[in-house]
Parts: sequence; C-alpha cells; structure tokens
Amino acid sequence: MSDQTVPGQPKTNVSAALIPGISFLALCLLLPGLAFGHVESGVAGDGGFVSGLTHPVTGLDHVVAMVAVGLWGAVLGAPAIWILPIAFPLIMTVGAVLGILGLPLPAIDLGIALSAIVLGGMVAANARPPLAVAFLFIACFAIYHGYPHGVALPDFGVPILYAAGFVVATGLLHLAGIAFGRFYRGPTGMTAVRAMGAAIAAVGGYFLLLAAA
Amino acid sequence: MIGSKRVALLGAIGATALSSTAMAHGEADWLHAAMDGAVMLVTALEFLLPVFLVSLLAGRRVTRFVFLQAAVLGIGLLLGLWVLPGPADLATIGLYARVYLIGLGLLVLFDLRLYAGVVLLLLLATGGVTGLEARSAITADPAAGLVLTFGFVLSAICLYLPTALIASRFGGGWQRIAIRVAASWIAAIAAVDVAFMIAPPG
Repeated sequence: MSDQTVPGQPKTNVSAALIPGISFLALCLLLPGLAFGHVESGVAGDGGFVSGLTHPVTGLDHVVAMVAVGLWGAVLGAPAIWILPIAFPLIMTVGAVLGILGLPLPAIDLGIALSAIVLGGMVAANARPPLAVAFLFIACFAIYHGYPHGVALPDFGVPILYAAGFVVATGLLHLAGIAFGRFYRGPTGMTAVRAMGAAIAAVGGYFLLLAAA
Repeated sequence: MIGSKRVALLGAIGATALSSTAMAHGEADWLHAAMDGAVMLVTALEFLLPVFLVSLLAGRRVTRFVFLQAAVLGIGLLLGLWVLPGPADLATIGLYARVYLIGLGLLVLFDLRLYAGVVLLLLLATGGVTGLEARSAITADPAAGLVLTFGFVLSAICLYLPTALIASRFGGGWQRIAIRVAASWIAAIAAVDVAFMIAPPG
C-alpha cells in the first residue's frame, strides 16, 4: 500500500482510510442477528431487545437525566466526557439488579426527580467539581434510575436481549447529550447548552412536585 | 505488523462467510447444519458477546500471533463443546458464563495490556465457557453435531479475526475509548442478565 503525501500536510497512510470502512463492516457483521427474519421471539418487543430499548426512553424523567449525564460530561471535558457515560450504565445495572432482586430502595421517584434537577442544574450553572465528586453524583443517581427498570420487568421474553436493549438505549441517550454538549465550545453554543441544562432542571422540578403530591 | 490490505481481506472473507447464513434454500443437509451452527453464534448474544469481547481484549496483543490466537479460541470452543466436564444444568452454566463475561468486560474496560500467554489462556477459557453453554444445542445429535460444530467454530473465528485485527489498529484516543465503552456496556448487559438468572422475571 503506497503512502500519499500532500505538500504542507502531514504524511497520510492511504491504508488508514480503510479503517472506518472495515470498522463499519465489522459492525455490520453483528447486525444479521437483529435482521434475522425468522426469530420468533425476543426481538419484536415482547420482552426482548425492543422492549429493553424502549423502556428507558418511555419516561421523560429518565430521558432528561440520562441526556444530562452526557451533557455534563461534555461540559466537564476529558476524561469525564467518557468516564461518566461509562459509569452511569454500569452503576445503573447495579440499581436494576437491586430492583430485580426485590431489595428495598427508599424515595425512588424523589431520587429520580432530584437527579434531573441536580444534573441539569450543574450544566446550567456551569459547575465543574472534581471528577470524583461528579462520579459520586452520577453513581447515586444511576442506582435510582436503574432500580425501576429492574422492578418493572416484562413477564416474558429473552432476558439478555432485554438487557442489551436497555443498556444500549441508556448509552445512546448519553451520546445524544454528549453530541449536544459539543456545541459548548462557542459562546452561543455555551448559552444553548446551559439553557438546556436549565430546562432539564425545570423538568426535574415538575417531577419533584408530582412525587411530592 | 499486519498490513491494512490483509486486514481488509480478512474482513471481506469474514463477511463473505457470514453472508452465506442468509441463504435459506441450501440443498445439502450438511450445509444446512453448518449454517445453523454459524447462525447460532451470530444470533445469540450469549455466544456472540464473549467472542466479540475477547477479540477486543486480544486486539491489544495482535501482531503475528493472530492466527495462533484464533486457533486457540477454536480449540477452546471444541473443548467446551465436546470435552470439558461441566454442570448439566444450562442455567448454572449460563450463570457462570455471564459472570465470566462481566470479568472479561472489566478487563477490556480497564484497558489492560496483558501478557500474550495470559491472552491465550483467556481465549481458551472464553472458548471453553462459550462452548459449554452451546453444548446442549449443538451436540444433542452427535451426527449433525459435528457439522454444527464446524459452522459454529468457523463463524467464531471469522468474527474473531477481523475484530481483533481492527482493534489492534486502534492506537489510542477516541478509538480505544469506544472499545472501553463497548466493553462497559457488555459488562452491564451481563450483570443484568445475571440478575435475571437469579430472580427470573414473572
């Protein structure tokens, strides 16, 4: 494979350009499992992948908090931008496990509403605590967000597919937050991101009122 | 270092091999059985995820040893499918396999650069655990089981080679982060599945 050098630009290995394509191909290799037309259960929303995928996105309180995690990660920058979205789904599964096992957790609705208020508020206030503190916030709230997913399980289906959908949906919501948070660099973008944080906190306030009522 | 042309070629070979699983009207029974074996790996997350994850892990150590690694994975699968003693209860095997998957996910998440020998052991263990879990589906009929095994092991190797080679070219930055994020998600999936096994829904 030959190298191409453009004057004034760094030396580029042509073969490196193949990597995204090959990566895409590798991902495609994983997709036939989902596209397989003769799977009779587990995929089509009967407690399988689609059920897991839709579960986190059907509650606004969950959605805004998960987007806020990504948004806050983007505001904090590296390494929080990737540590927080890794930590949240992982710790959320701990909450889900608690729910599945039927262990008690107090004030769940309150905790979820507070998570939106705090995380949205952090973004709106442009708060930049140390990573350990941010991690602690995320960890506490992730348990509260995971717990209801563990309790409100479908009665049938393919558990591992449900789990996959559930984790992927959560991760994609974080990525949506990160994607929006990337606008933070410019002055207008910073205002938009902080406004979004404020909106998330307001939604959290609404759910707090509902939980208190 | 294995060149990009070879990586692309291996990827294409893997894709070609797997696309045959979409052929619904094969005429020979043995071909059907081989396809069933191949399809079994790529349509069941409990078999697919360990192979995918160990490919990402081994990607840290892939150079000229990649074919040896693939062979060790294949041997592990064969041992698990046909030789290793294990609990007869599928749920117990599944539980062990999922706990193992969590451990594997954490190894990739922490981005450890393991010794080549350790990677080979992990490949053998992954093959063994995955094979044990697939055993009841594949070896029920010993005659068809051999062909099913062929398809199953071949598809695992076809998945392993391009994935490990691609992962090996991910030097740093966002590419390695993407791998670590994927590993964390897989570990999370396995953790939820463990909970389902301990306390089944309904």
